[in-house]
Amino acid sequence: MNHNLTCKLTGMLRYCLLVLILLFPVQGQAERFEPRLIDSLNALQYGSDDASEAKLTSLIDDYPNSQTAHLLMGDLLLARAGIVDSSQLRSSYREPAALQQLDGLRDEVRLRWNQVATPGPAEQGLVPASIIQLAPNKQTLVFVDAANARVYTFSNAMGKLSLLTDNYTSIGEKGMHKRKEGDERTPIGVYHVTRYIDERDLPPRYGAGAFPINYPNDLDRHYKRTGYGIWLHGTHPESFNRVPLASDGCVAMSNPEFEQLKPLIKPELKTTVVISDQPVWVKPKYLEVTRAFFNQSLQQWVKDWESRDPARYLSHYDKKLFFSLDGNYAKWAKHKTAVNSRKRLIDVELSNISLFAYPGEQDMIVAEFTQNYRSDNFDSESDKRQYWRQNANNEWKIIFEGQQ
Amino acid sequence: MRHISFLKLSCVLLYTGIISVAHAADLGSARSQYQAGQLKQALAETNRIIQSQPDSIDALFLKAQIQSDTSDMDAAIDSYKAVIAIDPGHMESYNNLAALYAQQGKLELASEALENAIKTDPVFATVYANLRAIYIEMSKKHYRQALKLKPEQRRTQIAAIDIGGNSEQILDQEILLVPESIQAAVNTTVTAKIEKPKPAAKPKPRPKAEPTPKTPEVKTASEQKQKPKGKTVKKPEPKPEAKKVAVAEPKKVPSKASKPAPANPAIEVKKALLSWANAWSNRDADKYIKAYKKGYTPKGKTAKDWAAGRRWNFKTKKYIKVTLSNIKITSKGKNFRAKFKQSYESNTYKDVVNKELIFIKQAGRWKISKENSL
Repeated sequence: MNHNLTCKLTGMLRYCLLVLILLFPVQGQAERFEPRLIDSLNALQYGSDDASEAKLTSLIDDYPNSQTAHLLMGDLLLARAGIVDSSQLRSSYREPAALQQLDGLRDEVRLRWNQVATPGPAEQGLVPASIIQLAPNKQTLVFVDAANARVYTFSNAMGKLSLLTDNYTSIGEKGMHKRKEGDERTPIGVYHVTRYIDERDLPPRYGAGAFPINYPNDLDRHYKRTGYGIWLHGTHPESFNRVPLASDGCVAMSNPEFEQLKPLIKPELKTTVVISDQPVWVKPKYLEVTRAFFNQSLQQWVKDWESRDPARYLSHYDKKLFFSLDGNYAKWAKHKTAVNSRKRLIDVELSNISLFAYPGEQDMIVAEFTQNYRSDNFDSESDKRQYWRQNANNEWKIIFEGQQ
Repeated sequence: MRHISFLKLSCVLLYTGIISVAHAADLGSARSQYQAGQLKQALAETNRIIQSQPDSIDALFLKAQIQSDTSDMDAAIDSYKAVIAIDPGHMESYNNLAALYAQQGKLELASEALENAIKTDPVFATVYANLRAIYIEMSKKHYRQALKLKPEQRRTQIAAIDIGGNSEQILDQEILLVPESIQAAVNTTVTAKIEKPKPAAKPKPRPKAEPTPKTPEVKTASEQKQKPKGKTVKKPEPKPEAKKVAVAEPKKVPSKASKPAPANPAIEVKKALLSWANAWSNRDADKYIKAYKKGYTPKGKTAKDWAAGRRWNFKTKKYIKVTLSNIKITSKGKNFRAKFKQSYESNTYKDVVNKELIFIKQAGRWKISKENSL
C-alpha cells in the first residue's frame, strides 16, 4: 500500500514535469515552425503579400533548411513577377525527382493548411474513436493519422485522454496499408514501441533518433504480411522535414518535433502507437457505451472460464476464424478442454485493460490486458492480447489470443 | 488584398493652366460641377464639349470619371477606351480601366490594361521588366533550395538605361540559359540596354521634374482583413474580391503620346539567339531547325541530312543543357554577328566552345545563316 502510494506520487510528479516542459518551450528556441508557416499563408490570404513575405523571411532565417518555406517564398516572388500559373514551372523542371518533390511540397502545404488553419479535432476535445479504453499504466499514447499526415500524442489520466502534441509527419512513399517487404507503405493497425535507438547509433537520415514498433504484429503475420523495421524517427539534418509521402514506411517527423515526442514515449512500457487510415473523432462520452459493452464481454469470458465448463468457455471463440500461435480452433479447443477439465478451481482477474477498435478492419477490436491466473495447481501473470470480431449473427467472438 | 488605385491629381491648377483657354472655361465649369457632386450637370456639360470637340481627351476622361462615379461602369470603360483610341499612350486611362475591370472581377482584362499602362513609358517599362526579372531570379534561388539543388553560380544582369542616346549596339551581359530553371519557361531575363527615345527638337524635362502624384493611393488592409472562420476555409488562395476604387484625374495634358521605343534589331537578334539556345536545351527540334535560314546547309551535308541528323541527335538524348555567356552582338552590314561562349552538356557529352553565329533577316525574322566554332 505504502509502496503503491509512492509510485503514484512519483508518477504524478513526472506528469506535472512533463506538462511544464511542454507548456514552456526552452528559452531561445525559435517559435514552432508550423504555426508560423500557416501564419504566413494567412497573411497572404487576409493581409498582403508584403506581410506574408516578412513572415516567410523570418521563418527562413530561423529554419533555413525548410524546403517548404523556400517553395512558398519562391511562389510569392513569382506571383510578384506576374507568374501565377505554376504549371509553367513544371515544363522547366523535367527531372522526375524534382517534379515529384514540387508536388510533394505542395501536398505538404495543403495538408498542413487543412489541419491547422482551423482548430483540429483534438483541440476541440475530441478523441479518436478507435481508442475505446486506455489502461491506466499507459501514461501516453501515439496516434498517427496517416491519411492526413499528422501525429498526435495524448496523455492518459485514469483513462481520460488529453492532447499533448499535434504535429505534421510524413509516411511511406507509396502511402498506407503495408502488405509486403519493400512496398514502401506504412502499416495500419495497433502497435507498440519496442525500443529506442539513439541518433549516435543511426545513419544521419534518421535524424534525432528512432522508436521501432512491432510491425508485423500477430494479425499482420496471420495475414502473411511481411517486412520489418517500421520506425518512428526524425529527419536528415539537411532538411527540416520530409514531404508527406517520403519514407520506406516509417513515420518520419521533423527533429524538433521528434525531440518533443522523445520524453513521452516509453519503450519499457510499450507505449501504444495506433496508426489509422481514416480516423473518426468523437466526444469521449460517446465511447462509454462501447467501453462498457466490451468490458462486460471480457468479464463474461472470465466467468465462463472460471466455470470450468469447456462449452461455456469455448462459446467465446470463433470456430472458423480463430487462430493462435498454438494452432487453430480445433487444437485450441482440445488443449483447453483437457486442461480446464482437470482443474478444481480457476480464478482469473484482469487488469490494465486497453481496448482499441482496430484501424483498417471492420468490426474488429483488440483487447490488451494483464491476466492474473490462479488454479489449484498453477499460478501465472501474463500480458495478453485478444482480437474480437463480430460474426454474421452480430455476436462478438475471439479470433486470436496470445501473449502481448 | 491590394487596391487598384485611380490616379489622382491634387493640383488642378496645373491642369487648367496648360489647356487652351476657350475650351478651359467650359471644361473648368464641368469639372467644378463634378467636384461639387453635381454629376448630372457635369455630365451634360462634358457631353456638350465632346459634341463640339470629339477628340478632346480631357473631356472624354472627365466623362469617364463621372460615369464611373455614377456606377455606369460599362459606359466609363467605353469612355476610357475612347481616350486610348485617341492617345494610345494615355497611362492614366489604362490604369483607371484596370480598376474598373478589377471591380467587375475581370482580372485578366485588368492585368492586360495595367501591362499596357506600363508599356506607355519605355523607361518605366524597362524598370518594371527589370523588377520582374529580379523577382524571378530571387524566386529561382528559393526554388533551388526547395528542391535541394546546388545554388547556381551566376551573376544577374539587368537592363541599363542610357540617357545619352548612345547608339552602340553591343550587348554584353552574361546570360545563362538553364533549362530546368524558370527562365526557360517564361523567358523574362532577356535584358537589353535600351535608349531613351531621342528628343524630337527640344529635350523634354526629366519626368522627375513634374509634380506627378505617382504613388498610388493604397487603402489600409484592415478593412479587408478577415479572420478564418470554420472548416470551409480550405485553400490559401486569395479570393477575387471587389476592389474599392477612387476616381482619377489626369496628371497632365498629354502633349505627345510617348510611344514604346522602336524595336532595336540587336535586341531582336539576341532574342533569336536565346530562343535558338532554348530550343536546343529543350530538344525542340522543330524550333531549333526553324532558327536557321531556309535551306541551311553546313559543310558537306545536304539540308535534309542535316535536319534529320539533328532530329536524331535530339531524340536520343535524355537531356541537353546549353548555356551561353559573354554574348557580344555586333552589326555586320545589314546582318548581325553574335559571338559567345557556349557550354554544352548532355547525358553523353560535355564541352565549352567559343562560337559565332551570323544572323540574316529572312521573311521579317532573324535566322542563322552560318555557325562557326572559333
